[in-house]
Amino acid sequence: MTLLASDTRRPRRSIWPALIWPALLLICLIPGLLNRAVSSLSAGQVPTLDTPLWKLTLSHLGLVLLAEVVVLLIGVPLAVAVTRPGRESLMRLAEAVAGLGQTVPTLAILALAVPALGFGVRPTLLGLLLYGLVPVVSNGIAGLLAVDKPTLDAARGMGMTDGQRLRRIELPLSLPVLLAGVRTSTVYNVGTATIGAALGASGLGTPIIEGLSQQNTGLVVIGALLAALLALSLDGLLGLAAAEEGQR
Amino acid sequence: MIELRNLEKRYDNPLTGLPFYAVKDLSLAFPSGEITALLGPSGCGKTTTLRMINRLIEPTAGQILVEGENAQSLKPEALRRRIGYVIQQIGLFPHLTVAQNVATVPDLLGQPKARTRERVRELLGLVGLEPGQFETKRPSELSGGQQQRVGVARALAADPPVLLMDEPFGALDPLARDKLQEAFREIQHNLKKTIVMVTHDIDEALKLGDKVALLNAGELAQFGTPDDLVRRPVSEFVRQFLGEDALLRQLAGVRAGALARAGDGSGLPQVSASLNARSALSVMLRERAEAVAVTGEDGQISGVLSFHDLERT
Amino acid sequence: MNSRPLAGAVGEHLSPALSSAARFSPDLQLVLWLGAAPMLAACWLPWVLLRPNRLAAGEFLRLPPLDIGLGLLAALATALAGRFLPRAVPLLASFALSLGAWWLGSRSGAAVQGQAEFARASVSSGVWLWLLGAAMTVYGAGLVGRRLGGAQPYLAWLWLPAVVLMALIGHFASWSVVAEYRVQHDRFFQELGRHLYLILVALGLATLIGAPLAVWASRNARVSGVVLGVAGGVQTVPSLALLGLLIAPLSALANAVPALRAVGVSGIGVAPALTAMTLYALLPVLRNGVVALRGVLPGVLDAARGMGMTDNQRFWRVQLPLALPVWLSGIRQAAVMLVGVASVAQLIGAGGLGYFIFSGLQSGAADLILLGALPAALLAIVLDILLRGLETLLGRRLGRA
Repeated sequence: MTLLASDTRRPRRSIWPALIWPALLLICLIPGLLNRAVSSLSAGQVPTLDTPLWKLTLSHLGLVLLAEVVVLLIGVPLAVAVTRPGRESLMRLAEAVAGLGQTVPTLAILALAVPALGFGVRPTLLGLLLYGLVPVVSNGIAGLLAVDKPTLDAARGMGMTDGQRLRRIELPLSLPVLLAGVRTSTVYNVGTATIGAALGASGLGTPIIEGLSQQNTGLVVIGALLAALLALSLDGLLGLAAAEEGQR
Repeated sequence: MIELRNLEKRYDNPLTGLPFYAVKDLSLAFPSGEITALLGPSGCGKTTTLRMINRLIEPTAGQILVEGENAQSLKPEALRRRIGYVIQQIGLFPHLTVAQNVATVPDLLGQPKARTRERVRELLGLVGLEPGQFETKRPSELSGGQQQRVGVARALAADPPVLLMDEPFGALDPLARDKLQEAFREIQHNLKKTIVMVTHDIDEALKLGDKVALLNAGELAQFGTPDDLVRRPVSEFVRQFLGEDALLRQLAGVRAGALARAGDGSGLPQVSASLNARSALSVMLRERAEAVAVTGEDGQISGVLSFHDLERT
Repeated sequence: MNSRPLAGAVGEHLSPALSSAARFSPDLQLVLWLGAAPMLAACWLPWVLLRPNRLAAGEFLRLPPLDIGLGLLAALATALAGRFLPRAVPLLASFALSLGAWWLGSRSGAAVQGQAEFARASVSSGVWLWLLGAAMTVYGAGLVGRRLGGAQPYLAWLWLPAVVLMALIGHFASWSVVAEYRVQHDRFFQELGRHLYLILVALGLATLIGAPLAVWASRNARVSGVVLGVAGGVQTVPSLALLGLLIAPLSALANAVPALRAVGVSGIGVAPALTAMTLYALLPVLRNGVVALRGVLPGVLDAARGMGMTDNQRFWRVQLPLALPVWLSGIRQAAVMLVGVASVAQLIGAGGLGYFIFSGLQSGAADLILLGALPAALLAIVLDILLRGLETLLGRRLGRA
């Protein structure tokens, strides 16, 4: 009964709009379908790739998700560490570095990593880590700082230890803001990984770069369409997760 | 004078189609040169009524006459420039200086700059702000009480015959509110504007209002002097709304000196003339005395205030 | 004793230093140590990579022993001063950063001394690490300076004129990136100009389109839902993908309407780059515009209406001036983002600083990459600082201080 009542009062956002993009992405990944659809852009020829599209998509997704896991493993503890009392200077430093990360162009960082790390996945991964960290750390800090001070005071007054307060009060309350950061970070990194193709990291940027150098518009459109769909899909799905969290 | 004739504001519920009357068949004449307090519980339509006078809200029926002219026949902007407007949120423009804020309406009316500047200084002095000190300040540099003083000055800038005030002192702390109410009473004493003031504060209505219009659910419950409402309530609603301590509230707004008569006060408990009458009554009760001696600023007894004198408020 | 004033306490060693040190939280010292650590490591790392020409393999050169000693001393002194002599921190931090820049120039100069004309001296991990650490130290010194007050915060900026001076006297002339710049001098300014041109035009277009839309959306919830939704969707699409997706429709458009082709519209080049950049910049311009216009206090707008301002007067005299600082921050975000998108735009032939980055990547020439990437990063930072300053100035002018 109560469940029903709360459902009618606060209509849950439909999950279907968020599933449109993943559905479109899957349709586009049916072997041969997309290639034939864009053949008119490639002077009537069906553009082909060495690696099948689903494999490129998977390696793209894998790279982004791998980076995101590492980002969470580094970023969340970092945000927690610098928001403890008496660490104001460290927090300022973290915010300043995150702000700088937001300012400096992605391509510049990726390109600057090449002389040090060589071509391929490694500089791309470094870029993904650095750029993935920016929204996670800054949102993590913002979320933890936004936790209502009287609430924390009440928790302390009830006899919670620092660790208990962190786990039971601070982290749950700051989770929506943190999740928003994770969403931004992941979606942004789909784009960073696309540019990574210029550094030799295989992914959905590969057909774009190849298509541009061969002046094969069909190939470019294949990569661009899939990369866009992948970003929109992840954005929708993670948005769904955030909305779910906000409902609780 | 402002006159409302069969004024009505109706909202139709878009879902049910049922009408809701914020204000219903309201006829009322606000006398010139006096303060009329529009009093009532929240949702009674007092703010709606006020905002219809300067056409921030358009009535669905009825007429409004401002100085004998039909408000409906004027351009809203032109009408509003002739009517001062003070609101609870104060609403000073944060990007302009105090002087520029006060000069807003004269500027809108295209009055000559030099004259306006003179007028601004005069008005700031009137509301108790030293012009040289405050002219160039920003609203954010002022306290709440000072901000509303500027708000009052701004409303008076174009010397409008009519002033509309929507809970003007509602956002201030008690101390600042008292001071500003006093200052405002003083200003009105000299200017004699026609003022309509919305308030939900019974004390404020009884203290400042020459007349009080009590509204209930969009309709007029009673219109009269504070005394009428306190002593001669026309309905159970009026009596209950003002409360059983209405007389005390009224006494709280009057100074003991104003009620005192000449007489021999020797041997009586003494109160200062500036004390309010309610406190004087409290002193009588405490001292078990039928009267108190009222002392002037010099400490000399200037008169006697007896229990019966309190009847004459 | 703690309340003792700091001024004039230079000669007395222990007590004033300790008393002032007590005012600094330990985490500020941690920031200084975080900066010192990379500098200490940098002393032992290779400083310069010397190659016979810009593509050949080369040999790594380290700092001479005397310089290593100086470096260790400078790094340690800054961190220790945080504990014992906070007043010296801003100056020492500035010195450390300037020292890094000086060595960058002097070591690369020493490396190419007596080498053939094509020899290139690139900076190596030591320099980057030192500069990173020194930058963190300078940041920490800025925090120290702010707590000390007086002229101290400015001392933490002394490195800037020092580095500019070094650049002006040609101290960095032997650095491979500068050598590359000398070769590409004309091209560099051409591409930098192109880069700025792309940003300014896209920003202008986005503002021209976005401002009226934002005003409309701020007054109508349904419009703002649609407009912000679409702009947000566009923002989600990766920049490279958006650039690629625009090729087909724009080339079709150019083929269908010859007049457009005549003015330069085609599938690749400036037209799709500007289209994509304008679309990207729309979201921050729109979002901040809507937020800013709606953020104006309702009491202020009600007062304006009640005083007899017309709708136009209310918008131009009250709502817009009050919304401007917040709106400007959206334009700043857009500008900074566009610096990045413009770098990628070279891939569809639009030019800009991306030209150096991508030709560097293709030929494996690190110096060429740096010639594009460093100015692009600097451009973004400078734009950010300038527009932030304008925001603060405007905010103060408009009574938000």
